[in-house]
Amino acid sequence: MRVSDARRGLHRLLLLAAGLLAAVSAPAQIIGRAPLRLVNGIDVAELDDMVLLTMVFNCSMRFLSNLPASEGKEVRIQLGPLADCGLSPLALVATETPPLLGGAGIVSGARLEGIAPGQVTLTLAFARPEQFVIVPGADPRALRLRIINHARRKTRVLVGQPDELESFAINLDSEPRAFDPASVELARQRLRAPIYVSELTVNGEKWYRLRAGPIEDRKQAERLLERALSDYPRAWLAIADDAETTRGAAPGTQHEVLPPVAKIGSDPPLPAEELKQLLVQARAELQKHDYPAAITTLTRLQRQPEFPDRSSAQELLGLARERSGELAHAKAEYEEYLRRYPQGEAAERVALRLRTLRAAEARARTGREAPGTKRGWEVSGDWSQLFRYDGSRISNGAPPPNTAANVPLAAQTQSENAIFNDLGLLARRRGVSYDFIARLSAGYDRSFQSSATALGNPTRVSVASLEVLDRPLGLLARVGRQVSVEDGILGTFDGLFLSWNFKSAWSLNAAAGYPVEQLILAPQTRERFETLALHYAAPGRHWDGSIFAATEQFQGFKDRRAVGLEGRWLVSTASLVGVVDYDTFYHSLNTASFIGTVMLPARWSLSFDAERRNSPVLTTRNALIGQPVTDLTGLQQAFTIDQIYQLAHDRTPVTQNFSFTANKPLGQRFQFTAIVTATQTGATPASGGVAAVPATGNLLTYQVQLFGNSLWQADDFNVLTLTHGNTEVGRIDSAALTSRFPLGGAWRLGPRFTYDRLTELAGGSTQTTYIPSALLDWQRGRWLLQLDTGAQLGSRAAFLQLANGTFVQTQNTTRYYVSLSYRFTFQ
Amino acid sequence: MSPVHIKPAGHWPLALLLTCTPLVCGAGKPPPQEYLDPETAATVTIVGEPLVFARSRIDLAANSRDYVTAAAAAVDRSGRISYVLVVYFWSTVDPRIHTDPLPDLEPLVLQVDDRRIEFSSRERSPHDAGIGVPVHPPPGRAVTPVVYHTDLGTLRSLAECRRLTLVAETPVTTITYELWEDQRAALRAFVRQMSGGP
Repeated sequence: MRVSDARRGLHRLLLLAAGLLAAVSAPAQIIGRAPLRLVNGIDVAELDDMVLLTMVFNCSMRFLSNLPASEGKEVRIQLGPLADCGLSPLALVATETPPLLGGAGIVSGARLEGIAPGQVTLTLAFARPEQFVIVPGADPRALRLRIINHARRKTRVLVGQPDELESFAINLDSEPRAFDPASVELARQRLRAPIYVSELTVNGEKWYRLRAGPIEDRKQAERLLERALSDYPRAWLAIADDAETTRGAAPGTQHEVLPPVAKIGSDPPLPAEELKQLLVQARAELQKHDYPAAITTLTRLQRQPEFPDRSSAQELLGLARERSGELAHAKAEYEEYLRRYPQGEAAERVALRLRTLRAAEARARTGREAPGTKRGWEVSGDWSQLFRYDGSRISNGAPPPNTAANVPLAAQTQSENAIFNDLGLLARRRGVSYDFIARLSAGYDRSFQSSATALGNPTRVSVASLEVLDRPLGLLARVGRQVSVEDGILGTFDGLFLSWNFKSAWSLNAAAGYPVEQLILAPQTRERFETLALHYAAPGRHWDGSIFAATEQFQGFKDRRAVGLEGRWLVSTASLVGVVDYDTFYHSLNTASFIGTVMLPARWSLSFDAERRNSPVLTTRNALIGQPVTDLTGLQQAFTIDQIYQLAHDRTPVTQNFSFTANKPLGQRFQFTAIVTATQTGATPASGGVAAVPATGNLLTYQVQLFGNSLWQADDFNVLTLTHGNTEVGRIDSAALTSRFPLGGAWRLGPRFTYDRLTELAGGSTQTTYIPSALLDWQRGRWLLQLDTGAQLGSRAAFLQLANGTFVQTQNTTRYYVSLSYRFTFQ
Repeated sequence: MSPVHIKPAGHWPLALLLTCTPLVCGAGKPPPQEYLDPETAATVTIVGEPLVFARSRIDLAANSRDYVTAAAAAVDRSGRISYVLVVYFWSTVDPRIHTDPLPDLEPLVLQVDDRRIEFSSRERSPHDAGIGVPVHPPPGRAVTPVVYHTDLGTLRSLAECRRLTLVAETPVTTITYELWEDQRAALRAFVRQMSGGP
């Protein structure tokens, strides 16, 4: 969700003002009032060759580092909340479990917590070890993570080599004697899946195999295998190895007359070299989606007398027919293959393809699922509720000697008492040629506070979209509320996204719609944008890239006009990701961001992040920052258009951030990490009645972390973090210890303790804070239950003047919170 | 593949301890053992007892056999777990009369019920696979092991199957090794532990 630009600027001004005026007058120091939630949600999109996680934040975040650097079953992403998050350097950040949309079976959980001052750590857990890379975007309110080499093997016909074609079955049990019908029926009841028995002769002995399937989707097959193991411990995943029970028509189908196929030998023989070239040409035509040309070339080969690769040509012809939607012809070609090459290398997979096509046809005709297939909508999602209570208490110390003693009593403030409800739904229907996906991520927040600063009871919709993929055409269309941070798109919008994979490695993307400022509002048409992007990602290459152009209008004003490029280079030992976004209207470099990782000998890994950003992104709306009006039409009453554009420029400081991370495992249980970060935010001039904001200067932070696993017991996790750094309000020194260890069963306990000391720039006063907290969670199957409780005990030693004019020398703050949440995942 | 001969001398105490622990702990299902390999710094979990296949060689000498010992292990390096089979080919036949050609080491083939599973060895040496200390070496013999890569699902299949034999190809013929020491219960315990079960 975007906080309005005016509020973002106001937060930053208040933060600086608090530091500068501390020596003269001291408002009650409530340490660190964070926004309600920092993470809006995490959208997981499964693409053909990778999985893309888009993490959307409710305010701007600076990427610091991620551990491990590129591979693991879990990744901890360290982020630095920027000024619009409204967090002071010593802010206590309550644990969050961000809603996940999609990614069932890939991402098993997400958690955000504060471990070090001025930082939050977003931990993503995967169902299995994955390779990944962090990809920055133009907008610091979102971050992407790509899971690479996550093969999405599909049994539908894809353009490519025939050996990519697979169907799956779960071999539940194998015996040298036949299974009785009761066993078959029991398996059907247990697994609620089609069950069949196939036979195989091994070393002269006949074996019988009790199987569930066939199943087109590997992920679906793996899920079924997991379910089957409890009753069938010998179960294993069979891949395209079963022919006997897949040949012939599916039950319930009528005998059909198929189109004739070209007769073998009806053309005079061609030289071997020309046959080879024709086959290569046919494969290339399939790769380019030019099915009519491929069919022509392959039919020509089919009319040849027998030659060594004729069986491959026959199979490819069936593929080409199927991809072009000519299913009857496809079946005829597959039948021809099985007739002519019953022991061929591809016989089993062709038989499976034929069975799948027939079953799909039977379902279409009868309206019922035919044995051997499972189609229809797959629905997954989660429901979660989080209750949080957060309260603070300020008590003042004794006044200095010889001063008037009129110290106010301790004051209690309740800053949060609310329940957050989140629902995520993903419905998917995979077809032979079309995929449909519907997504919904919405929430309702209920506040029990009655104060003016209470949350309210908003209903928010983060994502609500419908998507259709036309596989033969390579065309994807998505309409509705959606989120994207590539191609120059700045986050959530209501509109249309189109992607056309017109050639194997090339895609053209276009998007248009209305940017979403607040998730609680319906589509706002006073802003609109359009983008166009060209992507290149050739299979097997180590790099890919894209260029884009984007325009945005706000209330008829030109808001943004940008061009840019993104590039990714990934090899086994190094990666480099870069994003450049240049505004051609304002002639300003919005974003130049480069993140790289390199693995060195002796198990060292080094990562760097170099960013230069307009913060916030330079748009004409920035002219509203610090102004008493909320739209540009109102601003036009006092300023000309050119002055408004200049105000936008003036209100947009440049942030530069450089971080360098070195990481090395120490033995098997320890890992050492050192992070150095340098941040600088530029000054903004005084203009339009808004005061100048000075530059922050170079703020350096040094941090070392020591991770230890299985120190006290198996599977425990511990991290010691030491931080020394400079912030806008002063110097921070911090030590934090975080642990998580299993209690037994599915329970885990995570105690944490942090000690912070802030020496303020203005006045030199010191603030000492102790933050004990504990997270207790229980996770089993589809349920996650969490209890998070903590306190923040702060003491400030300074010569302070209170609102009533009284002076005190110390002020103590006690803050405590408790949050209880649960999540239920279904699929 | 040319395996490097492991010099166990420096790690005999650890190897001996690991070998004897099941005896000390008593009969019954020997539990898996976990230790930090001092050479490779990997955390290695090994099966309590290995599978032993045998082929009778009474054609050469009475009560003599060719053996194949296969021990499952999990190698944890920085949280990345890989599963391997550490396999020793050895014999009680006097080498002076054992003139048969050795079986091909690549691939290793197991007939698991009706399934033929092939295992390949991708590492140059066991050390490359994270195994520095010998895992269940054959008694009294300095035999070079071969490490084959596998996965937990395949190990589960080995542990739960009805029939298990080893098939070896030689330049001359195909040889079948029958299961001589059936320690599938130990392998089952290993799989259960690595699956996160009790």
